[in-house]
Order: sequence, then structure tokens, then C-alpha cells
Amino acid sequence: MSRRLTRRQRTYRWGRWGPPLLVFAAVVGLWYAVTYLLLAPDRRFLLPAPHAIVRVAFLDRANLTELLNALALSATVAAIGLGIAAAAGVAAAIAMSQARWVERSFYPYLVVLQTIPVLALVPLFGFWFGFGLTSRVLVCVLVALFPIVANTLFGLRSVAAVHHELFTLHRAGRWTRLAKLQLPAALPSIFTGLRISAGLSVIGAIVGDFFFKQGDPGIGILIDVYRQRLQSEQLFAAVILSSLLGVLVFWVFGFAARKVTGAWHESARETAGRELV
Amino acid sequence: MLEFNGVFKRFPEGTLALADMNFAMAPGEFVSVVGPSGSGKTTLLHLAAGLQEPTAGTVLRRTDKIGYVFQDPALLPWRTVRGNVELLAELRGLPKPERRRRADLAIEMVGLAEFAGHRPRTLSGGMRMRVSLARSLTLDPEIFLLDEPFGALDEITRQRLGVELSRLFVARRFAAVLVTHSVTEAIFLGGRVLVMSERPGRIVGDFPVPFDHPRSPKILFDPDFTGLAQEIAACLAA
Repeated sequence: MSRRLTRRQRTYRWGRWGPPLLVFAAVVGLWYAVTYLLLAPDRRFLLPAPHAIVRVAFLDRANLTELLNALALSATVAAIGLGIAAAAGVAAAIAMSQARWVERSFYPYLVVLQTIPVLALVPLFGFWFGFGLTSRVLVCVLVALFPIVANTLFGLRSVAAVHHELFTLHRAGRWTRLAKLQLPAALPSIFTGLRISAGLSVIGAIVGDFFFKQGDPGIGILIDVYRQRLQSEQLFAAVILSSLLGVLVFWVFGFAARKVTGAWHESARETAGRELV
Repeated sequence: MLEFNGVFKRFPEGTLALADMNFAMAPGEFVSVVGPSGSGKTTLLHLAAGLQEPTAGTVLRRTDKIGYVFQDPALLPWRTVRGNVELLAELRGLPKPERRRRADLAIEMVGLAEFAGHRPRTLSGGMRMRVSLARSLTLDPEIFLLDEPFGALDEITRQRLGVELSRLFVARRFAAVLVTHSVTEAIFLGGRVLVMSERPGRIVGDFPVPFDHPRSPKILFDPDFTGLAQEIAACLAA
């Protein structure tokens, strides 16, 4: 009985992990094929072999320290930007949900803000706030703000009419209604917004780096420097690390959403990054 | 306990929902209101609860202790059964131990004690409705307003909850207005059945029900029951 169960478990585990691992192996194989079969030796810097990347960038202590410091800085910038965007975004959505005139006055400009190519604004930030941390954080706030406002507002408004009637019947005030009904109901949507914005904030931190090169280097600056110096192993390592940061952030918010709303909300359990756990 | 005097209700978009509605009920009376869908039954309850104001006429209610049960159990999915049942006492600002005491008592009354820690999504439709009933019991309502509370349930669950409601009625002696489109349910629970017309709704029939509470499903086959059901059905069709 127990043996059959373990076999079934083993089959399950293979069914779940097997296919993506096979794809991973195939991609690495293809990579080696391109490096050694397609590229002439003097052009191999275009796609260095995976083991070369690991050796040069990850096993060399100085190079690894340089990469990890830059990654930590970019992660910090993204986190501060996301934190500010989350606080401001949720506050803005609450204000809009409480008074129609606030929503009517400000929401159109938020949509406009969303449609402006942020990249076009980035140089302006440098112009106004210098080329240091402030500007980099601002870029993150700007790209991360809208999804949080839009999703939170949607969540606050998604409360069923019958729930509102129940609260009206028992004379709940505006703040009671917000605290005990609207905010809890909005939590799944708030997490959806946070997850989208967290990814955008990481992108914002790297884009900010491309423009603002003062102070300690973030991972974006390193990517640019390695490209210029043709240090392709480190360049690839930097790209891989920034991708991993994006995946990590996505996973963290999926995990948090499941912790907070998983016990009662379907979507938190079904979609929140389960595929990456 | 509750009195409608010449009540008219016209919605902002122009629909006349109720036209010259008149009835009065005493404390501890259970009144069923049966009518075709769209006859303004929910509007009647909204007016009785004060969720809406009449366009003309007066609605008199002699108590503020209302228990309102919606067709949808209207449970908060993030709260446990106990948390949901505590909600109303919480909104009224009762202290925590008192809330807890009332909630546990009400949960006991509807027979869900072992599910107190469950979340609504793990319960069946009938159990959710019982949680909703328990919630409305916590404030000791003097009048219950029931908006097709069993409308979304299967026949067996519906009958079981009907018996339970009849038992609660005996235990608590609240007044109740039950709105339904089921003639059987109206007679089974009501001490009196009011029949509403098509929109705009008015009362076109008022039938006393000659059975004592608590009632058992056996009365469904009583000739008095079936005779009354025929009369009411005829009144509805007229």
C-alpha cells in the first residue's frame, strides 16, 4: 500500500518536474551547439559557453562580489520604489473609492501617466533630481504606480451589493465599511497589482541604471560596462542574475498572496506563481 | 409591529414597483408574502428595513432590532463561520466576550458548532444559509425579514431549513416577513399568507393558516394544507 503510494508520488514528481527539466537540458545543449559548432573561435565571445560563464563570473570571487553588490543595489532601488508606489497607490485608490470627485479629477491623469513612454521622462528626472539614488527610485515609482492604483480601486469596488446592504442595515460608517469590508475584499486584487508592479519596478531599476551612472553601480550599469568592454561572460552572468531577480520577486509575491488570501480566495491558490514553486 | 399604509414606490427610472400597499402585522406574527417574480417583493422588504424610502404613504416599524436574511447568504469569505456570525455584534460595537458568547450560542442553535472554524467556501449551500441565519440571530431581532432565503437551495435542504426555521420561531417568538415565490413554503412557515399581484405589486389576498408551530413536514399532506395551496394558487393566477 505504502509502496504503491510512493510510486505514485514519484510518478507525480516526475510528471511535474520532468518536462521543464528536459526543456532546460535541451536549451543548454542547443547553447553549446551554437557556441562550439556555429561560432568560429574568434567570435565565441558572442555566446560564451555556460561553463565559461560559471567559471569567470560566479567562481571568481572578485567578479562575483562585484555582480552581487550591483544586484543588491538594484534590488534595493526596486524595493524602495515599489514600497513608495504601494503606499501611495493604495492610499490614492482608497481616496478615489471614497469620493467620486477625487476619482473623476485624478484618474484620467493616471491613465495619461500610464500611456506616456516612461523612458522619455527618465532623462528629465536626471535633469531635476540629479543622477543618483533619488532619480533611480523615482523611475521605479513611476512605472509601478498605475497597476497598484488600478487593481486596488477595482478590488475596493468589487464588493457585492448584498454585502454593502448588510453593512448599511447595521449602520456601519465609512471607515468601518472600508476596514471590515472593502479592504479585505480588495486584498487579492491588491496582490495582483503588487505582483505586476514588482516586476515593473525591477525593470525600472535596470532602466534607471542605463541613464544614471553616478554613485555605486547597479546591475544595469554593470551590463552596460561589460558590453562596452566585451566582457561577455560577465555580461551574460549579469543578464542571468537580473532575470533571476525578476523571477524571485514574482515568486515572493505569489507566495505572500497565497499566505494571506489562499485560505479563502480561489485565484490566490490557482495562479499565484504556483508554477514557479 | 410593522405597518404599511398606502405605500407607493416608484424607482428613479420610472418603474412603479408597489401601488397602494396596505397591511399590518402584530409582534410575534409570521407573515408569508407570495407573488410572481418582479412583483416588488424585495422592494417590500427594503422598505420594511428602511434600506429604501417610500415614494408615497408611510411605513411604520416599532423596532430597530431587524434580522435581515438575503437570498444570497452574503458571508464574508475571508472570515470563518464564527467570524461571520460575530460580524453584526461587532458592527454594533459590543465587547469581544459578549460577541463571542452570542456567536457561539447562535452557531449552536443552527447546529454548526463543529464548523465554527471553517471558512464559507468549504461549506455546502444549505450550511452557508444556516450561518447567515445564525448571524441574524445574534442581535436578538424582534422582526425577521427573509428574502427568499431558501430560493437557491435544493428541495431537501429547503425543507430541512424550513423545519428548523419553524423551530427557531417557536423558541424566539420574533415577528417575521417571509418573501417567496413558493406557495408551499409560504404556507408551511406563515401564520398568514399575503398574495401579491403582478407589477405594480399590491396585496390581492390574505389567507390565515390553521397550523401551529413548530410544524412538521407531515402537514404538507394534510387536506387543509393542500386545499389552502389550491386557493392561493387560484388567487395568484387571477
